[in-house]
Amino acid sequence: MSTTPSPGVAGKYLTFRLGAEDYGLQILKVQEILGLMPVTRVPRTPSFIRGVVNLRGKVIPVVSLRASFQLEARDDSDHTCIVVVQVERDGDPVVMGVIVDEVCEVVDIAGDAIEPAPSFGSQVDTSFILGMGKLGERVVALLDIDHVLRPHDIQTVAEAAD
Amino acid sequence: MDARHHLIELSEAMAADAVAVSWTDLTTWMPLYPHCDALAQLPGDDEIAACCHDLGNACRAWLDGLMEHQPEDIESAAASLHGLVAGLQLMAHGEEPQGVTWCEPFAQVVAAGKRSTTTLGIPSFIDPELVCEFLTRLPSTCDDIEGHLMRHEQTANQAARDEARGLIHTIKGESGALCMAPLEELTHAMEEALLAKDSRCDALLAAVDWIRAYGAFAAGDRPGAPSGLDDLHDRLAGIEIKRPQDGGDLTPSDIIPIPEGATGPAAEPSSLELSRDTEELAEFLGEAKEHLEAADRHLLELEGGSGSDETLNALFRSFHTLKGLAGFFGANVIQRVAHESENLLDRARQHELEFSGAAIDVIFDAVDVIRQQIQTLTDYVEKGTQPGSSTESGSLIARIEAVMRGDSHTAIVRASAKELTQTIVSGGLATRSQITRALEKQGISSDDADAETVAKALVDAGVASAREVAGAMRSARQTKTPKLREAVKVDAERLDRLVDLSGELVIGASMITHDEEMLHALGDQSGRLTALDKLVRELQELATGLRLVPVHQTFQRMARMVRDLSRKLNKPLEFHMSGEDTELDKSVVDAIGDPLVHMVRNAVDHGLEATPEERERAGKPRAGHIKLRASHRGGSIYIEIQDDGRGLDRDTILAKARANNMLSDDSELADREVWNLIFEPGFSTAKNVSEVSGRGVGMDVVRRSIQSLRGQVDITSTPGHGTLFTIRLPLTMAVIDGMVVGTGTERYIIPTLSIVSSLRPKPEDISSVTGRGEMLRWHESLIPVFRLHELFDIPGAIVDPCQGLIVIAESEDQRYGLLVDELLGQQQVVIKSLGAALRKQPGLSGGAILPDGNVGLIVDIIELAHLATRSQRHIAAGAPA
Repeated sequence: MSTTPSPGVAGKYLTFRLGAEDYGLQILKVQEILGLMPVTRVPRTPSFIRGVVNLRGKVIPVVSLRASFQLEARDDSDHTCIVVVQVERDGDPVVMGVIVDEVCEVVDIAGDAIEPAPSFGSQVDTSFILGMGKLGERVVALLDIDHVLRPHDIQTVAEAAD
Repeated sequence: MDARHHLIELSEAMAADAVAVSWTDLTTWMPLYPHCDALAQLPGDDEIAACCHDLGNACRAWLDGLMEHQPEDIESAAASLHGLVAGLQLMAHGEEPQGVTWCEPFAQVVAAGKRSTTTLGIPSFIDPELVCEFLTRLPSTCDDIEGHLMRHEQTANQAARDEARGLIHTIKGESGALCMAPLEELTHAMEEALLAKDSRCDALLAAVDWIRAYGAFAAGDRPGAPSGLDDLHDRLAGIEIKRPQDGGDLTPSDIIPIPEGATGPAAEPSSLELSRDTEELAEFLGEAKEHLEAADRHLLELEGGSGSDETLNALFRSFHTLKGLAGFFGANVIQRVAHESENLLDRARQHELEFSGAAIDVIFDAVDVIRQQIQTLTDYVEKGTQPGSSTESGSLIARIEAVMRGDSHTAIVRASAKELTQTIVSGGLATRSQITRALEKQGISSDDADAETVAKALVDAGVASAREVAGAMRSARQTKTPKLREAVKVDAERLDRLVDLSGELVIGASMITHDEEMLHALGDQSGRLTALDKLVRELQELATGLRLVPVHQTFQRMARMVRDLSRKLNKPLEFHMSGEDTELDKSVVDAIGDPLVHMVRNAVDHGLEATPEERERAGKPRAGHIKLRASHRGGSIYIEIQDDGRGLDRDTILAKARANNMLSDDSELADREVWNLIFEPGFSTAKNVSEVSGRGVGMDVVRRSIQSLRGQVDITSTPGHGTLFTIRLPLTMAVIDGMVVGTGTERYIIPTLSIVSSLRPKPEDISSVTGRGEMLRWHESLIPVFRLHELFDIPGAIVDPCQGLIVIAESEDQRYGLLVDELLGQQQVVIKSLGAALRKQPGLSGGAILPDGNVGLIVDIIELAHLATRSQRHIAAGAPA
């Protein structure tokens, strides 16, 4: 499935790395970046949910982006970070953490530098990609984080795992 | 499931909600909406379903229409609702729907239709924020007025009346300023009605309801303006407007000569009819000030005991002159106050009244009020500022009257018995035991006594003279801090953030204060860290306490309801409340209201005997007693509802339970188990909802809502002597006592409340039952054992129960054993939600921040047990048999 990038897609992105790939998050969705801290595992949840952490008195769930993209697991390094994002769920803001291998930089991506998400056929769902941003030689997959972390899915998976 | 089955369920749910319906509070009708919708969507194609479909839609339309209706209509609607529910239940049990004639009343109610929907008509120049602020305060002010009115009604308490009047007057002033004419007029009429000798509380309470409804309408919470205003005015004014007088012994001159132009004594004439020119007025003001100074001087002399009859005469003359002058200028407040004071002084002059204590106090206050009025007028003359209204004079006049009647204690002293006792004891007037003995002599327990009875008892027992006691009363009153506390409304979310952050602060601080290196580096200065730690803890305590509010308001709602019910059902009632100051988490206080309404209603309706005659035959006083108590015991809040009615009928309940297949016939139950049956869903599956022992109606809803507050409800009942419902609630919803347990590499928190015991079993205590898993023998009983590490898939845990620990937990009278590695200690933790994404995790009730700043998960024992029985995975574990 391919979509034409809307003009709203252009703007500032926080880029991060999972393995060798670069990804981008809309900066307005990002609340803060934390160093890795002890994560409490929540039993009987799908494996991409690492658990919960204490964000200044609030308990927030933390998702491993590696696991949710079905990349092979890797040990945490000094560069491993939790990006705290605010996603929408039924119109209410929900705060979640996303574990990434490394946070790179904040970049401005113009509308004409963004290509629609490529279609890999019906086997691959790319609806969580807003578009592919071109940064010089690099290509950054711009994530629709609301879609990636659709809390509804998490809930369903959690129930299914029960 | 067939339609009939659905219908049975629905009609029961409706019956439960219909019981809670109140004709004064339309919000209680809201729960009926979903039922109507469900009714309209009943599956199936038979006749019943078709009939229900129409009925549901009609119902919904009816409810919609109701929202725009008048209280009178709603009352009849309540009646037709009960008819509807009864009809539904008949239908559910297979009786002929009979063309659903019993739902006809709806049509009428709907047709009665949309009458008055006047708009507010607030002029645009009024600041909407002011209106908003006024409307926000209005409901609680109404509650307060209601409380005072009822207190006044029950005990003829003048002080309560004055409080009510003051509040009504304030509403009048504010609504006047906000151009809410109907409200202003009504409150005015209420003030007058309050002054009536035979003040009719019914009309006044109805007026309070109207104000509430009007407020809701103005705030947009209610589509139509309440009607019946004219009627209310009639009811309020239908009472002959007279000022309260003590019978007989006052002369006709006691009635205030009403100045021309004034409509009545209650028309608080805060503004002058300034027909006189300002020069004359200025002269009057100067003169008045001189008189006031003289009055002060004379009063001091009299109080100090150096005054003579002549001093009293001079004082009298001062007030007399003030009255005359004020009358001349139309300064009504001054005139009235001066007039009343003069009356009192006249009687003192004639030695009909001892001029001391309370009398001197009240005259001092009169001087103050007049002085304040003079000042207002002076401001008017000098600066042209419009005089504001005064609320003082009404209560003052009432107090003067009270002194003249001789019941100065009630009217003046608002100190509580406790405060009085304290003052007396600390003043060395009497010892505590003397007071108790004096009270016992009168047959009063010291718990029930108010300040008045304490004072009287002391005087009667000859422990102290009336003068001394009166003196103590006065100082007790003075030491009492004013009731008015300033309050700031804060967004609940901000409050929660504050609580969160203060919790984090504690963790952060304790990490620093426990850091050895830091302590070492600070050397002698380490004391500061301790001080910091203490401050932080205090801050946290304060923050956690912020959400606590007294249950007072909820209790008052009950008082009002009981009063109304008592009239409706024609049952004389005495309603006692205590512990209204007990504080609970705001969310608990809000949520406990509905179950309480239900239970109190049940107590009045079914708990008490049907008629006073029946009570008399049982050798009880005609009036039923209902007690509502709140108290704080051992970290929990207890709310008790007690009636002295006929008690629960064991046999009826058992018969009913058996008829509903809730019990096997041969089981022998303890009383407590029998009583608990009424909480079972479906217990009320009787054909006739209003069947005598129908205490079960909706009780399952009550228990569910209390359980959702993490509370418990218990029943004790003695046939012929009444029933006691005890609700136990946690102090706050936010904090629990938890036991931190370790399993493998992980830690979990088990609520201490549910832990019965913990032990390391011997191999012979553990047995494996095929199909039921592991069991632990404990005190002659077998308890199912679950392994936390298996349920939660925790690596590295102790597998042999005899090496680990079994925590025995109890919930809903069931006991479970939970195998863990070790207990790590007890901890008060703040419950946190796991966030929207992980809201409902099986076996967990939430998270909590542990002292090291990491998140711990709180185990939900019931859920865990369900989880375990569902998976039955523990069978496979090779436990020693």
